[in-house]
Amino acid sequence: MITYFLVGNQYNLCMKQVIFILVFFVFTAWPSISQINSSEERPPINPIAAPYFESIDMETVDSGNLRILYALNAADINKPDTYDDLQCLEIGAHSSKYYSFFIYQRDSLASDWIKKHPNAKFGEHPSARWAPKGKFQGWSEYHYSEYFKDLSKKELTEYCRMPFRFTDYNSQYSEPLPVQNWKMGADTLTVAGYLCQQATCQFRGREYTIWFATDIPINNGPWKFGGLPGLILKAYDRNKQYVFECVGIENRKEKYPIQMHQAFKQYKKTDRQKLWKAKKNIQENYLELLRNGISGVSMGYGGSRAPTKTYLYNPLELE
Amino acid sequence: MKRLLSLSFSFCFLPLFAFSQTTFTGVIKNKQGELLIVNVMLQAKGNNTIDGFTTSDAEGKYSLTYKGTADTITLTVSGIMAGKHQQTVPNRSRQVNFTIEETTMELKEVTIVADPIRRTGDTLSYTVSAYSDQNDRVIGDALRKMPGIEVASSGQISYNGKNINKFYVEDLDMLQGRYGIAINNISVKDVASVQVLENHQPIKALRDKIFSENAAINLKLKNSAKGILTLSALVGMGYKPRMWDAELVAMYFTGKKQNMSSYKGNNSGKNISSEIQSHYDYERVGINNSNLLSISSPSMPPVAQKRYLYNTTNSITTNQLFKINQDLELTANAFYYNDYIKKEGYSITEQFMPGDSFLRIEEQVKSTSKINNLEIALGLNANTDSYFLNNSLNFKRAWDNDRGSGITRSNAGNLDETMLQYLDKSALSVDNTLNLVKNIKDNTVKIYFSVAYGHQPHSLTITPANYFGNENLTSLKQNVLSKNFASTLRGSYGLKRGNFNMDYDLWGSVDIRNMNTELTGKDTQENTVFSADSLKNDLGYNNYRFGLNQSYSYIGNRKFKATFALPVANYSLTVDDRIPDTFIRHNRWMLNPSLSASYNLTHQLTALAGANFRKTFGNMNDIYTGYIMHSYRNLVRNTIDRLFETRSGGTNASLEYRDAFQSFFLNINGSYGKSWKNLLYGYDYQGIMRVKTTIDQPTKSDNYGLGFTTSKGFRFWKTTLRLSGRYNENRGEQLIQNEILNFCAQTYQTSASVNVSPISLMYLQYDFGWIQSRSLVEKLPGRFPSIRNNSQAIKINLYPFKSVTVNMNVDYRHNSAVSNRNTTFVDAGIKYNHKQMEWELQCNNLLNVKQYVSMSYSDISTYSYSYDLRPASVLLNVRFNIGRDPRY
Repeated sequence: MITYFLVGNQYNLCMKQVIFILVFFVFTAWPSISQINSSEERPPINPIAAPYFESIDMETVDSGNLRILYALNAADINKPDTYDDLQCLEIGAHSSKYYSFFIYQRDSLASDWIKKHPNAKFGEHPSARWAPKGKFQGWSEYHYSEYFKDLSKKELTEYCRMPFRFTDYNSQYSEPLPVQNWKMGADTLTVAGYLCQQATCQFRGREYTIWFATDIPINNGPWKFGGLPGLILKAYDRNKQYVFECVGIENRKEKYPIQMHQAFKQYKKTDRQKLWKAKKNIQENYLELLRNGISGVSMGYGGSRAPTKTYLYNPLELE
Repeated sequence: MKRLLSLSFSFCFLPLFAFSQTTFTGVIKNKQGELLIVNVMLQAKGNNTIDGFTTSDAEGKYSLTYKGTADTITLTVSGIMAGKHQQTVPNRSRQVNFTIEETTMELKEVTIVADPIRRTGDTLSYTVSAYSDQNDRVIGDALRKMPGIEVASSGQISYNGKNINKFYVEDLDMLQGRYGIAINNISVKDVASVQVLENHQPIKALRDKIFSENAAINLKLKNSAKGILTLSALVGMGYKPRMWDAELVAMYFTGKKQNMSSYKGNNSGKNISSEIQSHYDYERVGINNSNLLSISSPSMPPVAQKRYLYNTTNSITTNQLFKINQDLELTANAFYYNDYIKKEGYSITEQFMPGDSFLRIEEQVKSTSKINNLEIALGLNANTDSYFLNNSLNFKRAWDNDRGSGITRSNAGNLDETMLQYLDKSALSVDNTLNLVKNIKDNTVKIYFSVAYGHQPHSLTITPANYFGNENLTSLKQNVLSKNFASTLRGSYGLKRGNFNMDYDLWGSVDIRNMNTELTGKDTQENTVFSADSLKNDLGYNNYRFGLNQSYSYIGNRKFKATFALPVANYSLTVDDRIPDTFIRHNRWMLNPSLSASYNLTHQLTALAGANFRKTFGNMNDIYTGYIMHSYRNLVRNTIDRLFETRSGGTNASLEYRDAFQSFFLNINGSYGKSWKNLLYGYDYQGIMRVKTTIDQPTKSDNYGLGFTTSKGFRFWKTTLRLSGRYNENRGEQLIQNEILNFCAQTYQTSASVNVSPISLMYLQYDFGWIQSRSLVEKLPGRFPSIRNNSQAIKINLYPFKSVTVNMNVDYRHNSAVSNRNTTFVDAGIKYNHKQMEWELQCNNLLNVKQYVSMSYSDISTYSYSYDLRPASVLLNVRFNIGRDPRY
C-alpha cells in the first residue's frame, strides 16, 4: 500500500517536472540570455553581517530594573519575524544601553555553541540556526551598533561593529547627549497599553514624530531619542522609513546587570562625522571594496548570479 | 518717528505680553529634606497638552515658563522613585516648591511579543502568553499545548518522552513531586514563562559528575504575582443527581517563602486525588504496602472519570517552604483526603475449561469505598555547589474500607446468591531518609541512611459462605496483619580523573517482615467453625543484604557520555514459617551489571542506548504456605518450597531530536527484553473459586517494543501537532489447565492530536487514538478476532467576546468486541468573566448515555462488563478571586 503510494507520487512528480521544465525552457530562454549582460536588474543587497564575538566577555557597567523592547520596522507587531529588528533599552542608575536583541541572541547562541564544541571545524557550525530572527538580512549600523548614554556626564557613545571583513574598522565615538528640540502636540495614542502624548522634532536632517508616556517618567527612548518628561514608546520619521515601537516592558524586582562587551574597549576612537563617512563608504562600496580594496581576498562573489551592488546609505542621521 | 512709534507700540503691549508669560520656579525635595532630580511638567488645568517641561537640577531647582492664557496651571513632578505629585496654582509668576513623599511608581508590565520558545544553553523558555487563550485558567491548560511537553491524564509531565525529575516554582521545589497542586491552581495569567531545564541534575554538588537525562520544569512568575497573597474560591451547584462543588485556594510566592493551601470538595465527579499524587520521589527504602485483599467490584471504564465517578470528596492540603538562609530550606506538606465512592456495574466472566466446557460467572455488584488518608511530610534541604544535605520525614495513615453487595450467578453448582463483602484496610507507615553529599576537591563523599516502618491490619468478611462448600457457614473472615521494618545505610566515595568519574558505594540493608493471617468461618450461632492450620500463616520473612556498587562514567567533551555499573551484592533470606514450623535460609550472590551511553550526533540529535541484567528472588507472596482468601473467589497459597528466582536482561536504544527554534521534537525508541523464571504459575478452578497452582518448571519470555512520539509547533494558526505510535509483543509460556502452552500477545497503538487557533475567536482540538490487541495461544484455535478500540474527541472553544467562552466537546469511542460498539458523549459549557468573578455553566453527558459496555477476551476466557455512568447533568460554578493582598 505504502509502496504503491510512493510510486504513484513519484510518477506524478516526474510527469509534472517534465512539463514544467519544457514550459520553463521555452518561456525563459530568451529573457535569461539577455539578462546575463544587464547586471542592472539584480537586486541590491546589504553588506554581510558582522562576525560573532570570539568570546562574550562582558563587563558590568551599571544595573537597573527596567528593560524596554522596541520593534524596528515591524510589518505585524504581533509577529517578531516580521520585524527588521527587536531592540532593547536598558535603563540603569546613571546610564542606559540601547542594542539589538536579535543580534545579542545570535551572538550568545553562537558563543555558547562554540564554547561547547571547541574542536568544531569551520563549516560544522550550525550558522543557519543562529541567523538573527527578523526579516532584515545582513549588516546595518542599527543592528550592530550599541549606544551607551552616560546620563550624569550627559554623553553618548556609539560602539560600531562593522560588517564582515571590515572588523578592523570597528570604531567608537562620544558626543554630547543629543538634544532634540521637541514641539508638543495635542494628540494622544495608546502604545503597549500606555497613553502617550505626541511630540515632534527636527533632528539631523529628518522630521520625527514620537509618542511618549508621562506615566513612565524617564527621559529616554529608542536610539538617540530622549529628553522628554516620559519614556518614548513609539518614534518614526516623516516617511516612516524607520519606525520604533515598544513591544515589551519588563520591570524586574531584582536588579539586573547592564553589561558592555570587553571587545568595545579596543575599538578605534573617532568622531561622528568621520564614522558617518566610513559607514557610507562601506555601505555603498562594500562589494567593490571586498573584491579589490581589502587584503585582496576574493569572496566568491563572481558569476552571473552574484549581486553587483549594495543598497545606498540611508541612515537616520542625514547630516 | 518710526522708531518712536514702534517704541510706543511696544510700550503699549509690553504689560500685556508680560502678563501672558509667567515663570514658575521652585525647589523640589522629599520629606527628609533631600533635593531631588525629577521631571517637572506644566499643563493648563484640565488640558492634556504639555506646555512646558524640564528636569530639576542637582540642587532640586527648576524653572518653567508659560506663554498661554489659561487661568489655572497644573504642575506635575514625577520620577520612577519619587512618584507622581501635582499642584494646581493660578497663572501668575511665582515660586512653587514641592516637598513630596517619595513613592516608587508601579509600572504595569507589557508582555513581550517574543519568540514562543527561546533557548539559552540547556534551558528552554516557553512564553506562556503564546500558548494560552482566554479559555485557559491554570498553567496546566497552557502546558498541555506546548510542543515537547506532555501532560498525561494522571497529571504526570514529560518532556520529549521522558518524565521530568523536578518541578520548581521560582526555582524552589515546595511540592516535592505533588506538582498537580501547582499546575491545577496557579493561574495561567500569573506565569510569565515555563522553563525546561534539560539534563537537570537537582543536586548541585553532583553537576558535571553525575549526568542526568531527565529534564525539570521551572515556572517563572510575573512580578505582579510575586510577593502577594492570592485567594480564590469556587462555589457550585448542579442537578442530576444533586451536586455541589467548593474550593478555597490560597497561595503566596517569593524567592524566600512559598505557600499553597487549599480545600477542595465536590460530589460532581471531579477527581481531586490525582492532584495530590506524587509524580517523583526521592530515594527511600520501600516497605511492603501491597493490598493482598480486595473486594470484587466493577471495573472502571476507560473514559474520563467525571463520566462515572459517584463521589463525595473533601481534601485539604497545605504546603509551606521557608528559606532559612541562602542555602537552607525547609518544606512542610500536609494532606488530608476523604472520599466516599459508589460504583455499580455488571460483569460476565467465561472461562473455557478442558473438554469444551466452560465456567460462567455473572456478578451484579454495588460497592462503596470510604477513603480517609492523612499524610505529613517534612523536609530540610541544603543544596550548594560543594555540599548537599537532605532529610525527609514522611508519615502516612489510612483508614479505608470497601463494602460490596451484589448477586453472583454461576453455572458451577447453580449458584445464585446475594454476596456481601466488607474489607477493612487501615495502614500506617513512617519513614525517614537522610542524604549527604560533600565535594572534597574533585572527589565526592556521600552518605545515605533511610529507615521505614509499616503496619497494615486488613480483614475481609464475606457473607453468606455456603458457596465455600460448607452448608453451616454463614460468613467467612480473612485477617491479614503485616508488619515491616526496613533500613539501608550506604557510604559512597566518588573520584574524578579527567573525563572519568568513578563511584564506589558500600552498603548494607535489612528488611524484616512479619505476616499473620487466618481464615475463619462463622456458623449460624456465631461460633467459629473452623480454623485449620492450612488456613493460617505466621511467617517471618527477613532479608539481609550487603554489597559494593561500582559505577564508572565517562563524560567527554559533552558529546559522548557513558556509564557502566557493576554492583555486587550478597542476598540472604530467612523464612521462618511458624505454623508448619520450618526454617529455611537462602543465600545468593547477585551481579546486576548495567551500561548506558549517549552520543550527541548534532546539537539537536542525540542517540542513546543501554543494556542491563538483573536477578531477583521474589517476595513474601511467593513463599507463604497457608491459604489466603484474596477475594471471595480467589484462594492462594504456595505449594513449592523453593525460592522463586528470576533473571532478566534487556537492551534499549533511542534517538531524540529536539529543535526548539522549529518547535520540533521527536523521540524514537526500541527495546528488547528476555527473562527467565524458575517456577511457572497458573490457576485452577474449584467451583467459582480460583486457586493458584505452581509447578517446578523453568520458563522463558521475550518482549519487544518499538515506538515514537513527535510534536511540532507551527506559528501558522498557533498550531501544535502531536503523533505517536507503539508496537509491543510479548512471548512466553502459560500454564493453562495443567498444560504448558506458548502464548503471544501483541498490541498496536497510535494516537494523534492537533490544536489550532485559526482566528483569535476560536480554538479547536482534535484527538484520535487507536489500539488493537490480540493474544494467541498455541494449540487453541483462534476463537476470536483481535479487539480494536478507537476514540476520537473534538473540542471547540469559541470566544465571541472577551469575557465569554463557549465550549463544546464530542467524545466518541468504538470497541469492536461488543455488540453495542459505539458510545458518544457530548458536553457543552459557557463561561463568563466579570471583573473578579467567573461564572461557568457546564452540561455533561447531553446524550444521557447510561452505561458503558466493554469487553476483553483472550483465547481461554472472555470478560465483559457494563458500568453505570453519571446521567445528563448541569452544574453551575462561580469562581471568584477574593483578593490579592500585597502586604502579606
